[in-house]
Amino acid sequence: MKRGRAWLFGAGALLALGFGVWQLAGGGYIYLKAQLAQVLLERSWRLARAGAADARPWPWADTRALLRLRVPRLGVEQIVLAGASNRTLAFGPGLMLASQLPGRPGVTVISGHRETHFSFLGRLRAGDLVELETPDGRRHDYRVEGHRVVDVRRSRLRLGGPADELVLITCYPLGGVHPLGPERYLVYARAVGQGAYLPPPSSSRR
Amino acid sequence: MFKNGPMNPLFSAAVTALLVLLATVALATAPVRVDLERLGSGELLFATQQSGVYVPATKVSTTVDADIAGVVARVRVRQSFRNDGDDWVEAVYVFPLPENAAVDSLKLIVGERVIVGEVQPREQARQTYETAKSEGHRAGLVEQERPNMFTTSIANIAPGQTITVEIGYSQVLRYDGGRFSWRFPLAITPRYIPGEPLPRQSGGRGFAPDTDQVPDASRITPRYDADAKNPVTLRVRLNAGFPLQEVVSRYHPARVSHEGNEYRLEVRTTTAHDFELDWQPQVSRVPAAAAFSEDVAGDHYALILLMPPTRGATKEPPPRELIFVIDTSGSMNGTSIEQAKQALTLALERLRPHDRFNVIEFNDEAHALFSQPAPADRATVLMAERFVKRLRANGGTEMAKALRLALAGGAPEGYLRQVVFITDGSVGNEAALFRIIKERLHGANLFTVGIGSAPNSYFMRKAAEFGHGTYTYIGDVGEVGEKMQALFVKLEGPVLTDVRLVLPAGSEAYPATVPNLYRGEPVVVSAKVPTLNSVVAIRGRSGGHEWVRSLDLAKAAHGEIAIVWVRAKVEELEDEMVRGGDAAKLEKEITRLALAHHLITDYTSLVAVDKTPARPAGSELHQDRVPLQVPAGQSVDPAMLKRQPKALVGTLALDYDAYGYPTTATAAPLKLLLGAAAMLLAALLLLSGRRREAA
Repeated sequence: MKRGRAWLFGAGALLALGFGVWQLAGGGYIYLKAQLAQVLLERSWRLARAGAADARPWPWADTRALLRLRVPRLGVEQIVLAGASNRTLAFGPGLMLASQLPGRPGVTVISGHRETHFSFLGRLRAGDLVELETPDGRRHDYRVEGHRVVDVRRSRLRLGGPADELVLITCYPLGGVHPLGPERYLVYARAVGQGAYLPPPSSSRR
Repeated sequence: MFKNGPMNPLFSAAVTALLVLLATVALATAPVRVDLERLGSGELLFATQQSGVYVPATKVSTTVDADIAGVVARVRVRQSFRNDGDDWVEAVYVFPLPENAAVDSLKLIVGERVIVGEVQPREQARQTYETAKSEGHRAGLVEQERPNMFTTSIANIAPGQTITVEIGYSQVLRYDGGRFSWRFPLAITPRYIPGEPLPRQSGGRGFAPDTDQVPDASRITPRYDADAKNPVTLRVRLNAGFPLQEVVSRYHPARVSHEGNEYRLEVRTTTAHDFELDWQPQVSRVPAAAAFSEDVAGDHYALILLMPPTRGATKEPPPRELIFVIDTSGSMNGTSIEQAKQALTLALERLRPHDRFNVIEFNDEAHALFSQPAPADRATVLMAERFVKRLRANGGTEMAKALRLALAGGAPEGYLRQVVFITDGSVGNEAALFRIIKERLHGANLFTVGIGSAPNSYFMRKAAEFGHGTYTYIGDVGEVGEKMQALFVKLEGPVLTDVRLVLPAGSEAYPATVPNLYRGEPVVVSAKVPTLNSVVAIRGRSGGHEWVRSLDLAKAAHGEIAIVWVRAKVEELEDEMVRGGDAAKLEKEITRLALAHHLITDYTSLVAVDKTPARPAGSELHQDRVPLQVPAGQSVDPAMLKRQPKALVGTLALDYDAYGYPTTATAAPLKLLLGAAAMLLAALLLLSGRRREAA
């Protein structure tokens, strides 16, 4: 009787241990992937900037580096990918392809995961500078105007409009755990005129 | 089981609570993970109602009235745009028309008022429109993007209002193999855009950016709506001028009624599949020749249609080198690739042992089955059939690579070299491809076979023209056999060559050079003549003999064919541009001609402005690009959609259905939490096991 009980407890402990390791590894993998991908993306971005036809970050990638995002005040520097599917967002923030590229009238929408790349969104303040660099070497500066929390069940995203605007999106509440929550944290920014032309990075391909 | 043991109740409660937490969260995460995968990108374009900055979809419905007399169709296309939103809207709609349509009229219909449009040079027309738009006036603008693709823009549609645009055009019908046909395109297959994005974008809002190879890509790649069903009503009045044996609507069920020689039909459908009506004269009444004339502003115009001899080459055709090219790009996915494979398999079966052949498939790259064209013996044909069977449609449409590969090399002495190009032609760089065909043809003949519910008719016809071949459409699996049979007869070689026209001095006729004719094809020529009191002679060589026919223009029936001549001349000038003519000079010439004859071209647009004030100064105007319906049998890439289909969203995520925001959280913190809780539980269990043992 006693032995049976102990055995049961042991098995239960082992099961819980296995499950725990599995979950921790799964969670850790998400963070690791987000970190590692940005390194590979940096290379893809250099290729895109140098005008390479095939600038995919890894051979089987279904996305590519589209922009470089910088927030000088917070020291944030990230490569933005094409598309905002979950597969893409695992590797980096993504530009919604339905939205506009920077430098044109309309809204540029970039979303990112709140746990990884866009964990800095809550620290953005009105007046902060957000820089977007396009592969042609142009820098587009945006000034943060404010933020808003929206409920996706009641709000729609606006993409039209005459002004060149930027919206950064992540999930809300910012420290939350529910991966499918209905709330989003939106940071609004407006173009402050096109910055200087940046020469392409030196590349061994040229 | 914890209760009956001698245990600390607090400890027991903690373990129970942890277990309950773990169980619930674990249960919750299992479906969650499925949803995360299935939710897709969720990239919606739909904008807010509450902020009132962007307005949901404008509805478009189309009515087509075709009046067919003899060999010319006069067509009126009415597009009605209804603004269902709460804001003022500018609607922009990209739509197809036949590639040889001579569009010469535009009317803007606002309630009771009708404003007649005028033709202006493209930039000027845009200026006129933009000015009216910003001043709050209602305005309509129709621009040509390709000879078979146009854009309508309507400014200042009030909330709840409907504005209608009426476009009028004339067109010469196709006559082939003893049948006349009127084809009206209703859908646009998404165009593939090759090249690298340009740093400066023109500001079109299509799914593709402008590229170095297709600088207007963003204008010719309208977005789609997976749920859209844009209604269209087609009414046809057909007066062929002779008794008919049958009248058939090929892809849409229709009841045809007739009274004497006049046939009528009406079809209500949606913009999913091109419409085609064809009819056949009674056998004894098949016309051998037809001529039409019209006087406009003191000028005389004639349209001549003449059947070549039916008995052409009687001897066994020479051995051939046939190069089959099959498009396996993503746009062919669905029913199109099945039609293409069937057509190609039929063609392979028809090869004779002394023919040589090769099969090329292309999407992002072009691959040939054999490195060199092979003799068509049992083994090679069998290999080819297996190759075709395994083809799948996926990827881009790098047609230039396929054309270069197909046109490389030449046939051995004594062989007739023919390229059969099976595709939906869904590319945006047509002119560049025509140039490749023209430069690399070297005596070969290129035949296009247009596949699917909405092939690019402009590409099909002009590629065949530059390739000295002919074009065929297959719009349905059921007609593969019949259409390919007609093509096989044509592949035996032209029945009339060296065609020359003898016209009165001072005449201007188009096409300037009549192409070689294949079995079943008539000579079709538009001419401007000094007087209608003249006789036209047509000469050519047929089966080794000289062939001559003459037609008396004085006996020609009246028809509205002057505009058809203008359109034919514009096409000749455009061809000259492809052949490397002085572009600036040709553009000027086309513009002058189009302005004089009120015609839409690449360089001229129709614009109409209603001077009545409409939108008050305070209210904003929002642009709505009307999404297209997905062509029948096709599935478009989600990136081309204006709005995600609901079907993409998993059932468990119903609450979050189509909200326009990407999912921006991962399950990472949840996993870490669960992991930590499970570890804690493991520790507690272990601890409790030890304590029990010790006790």
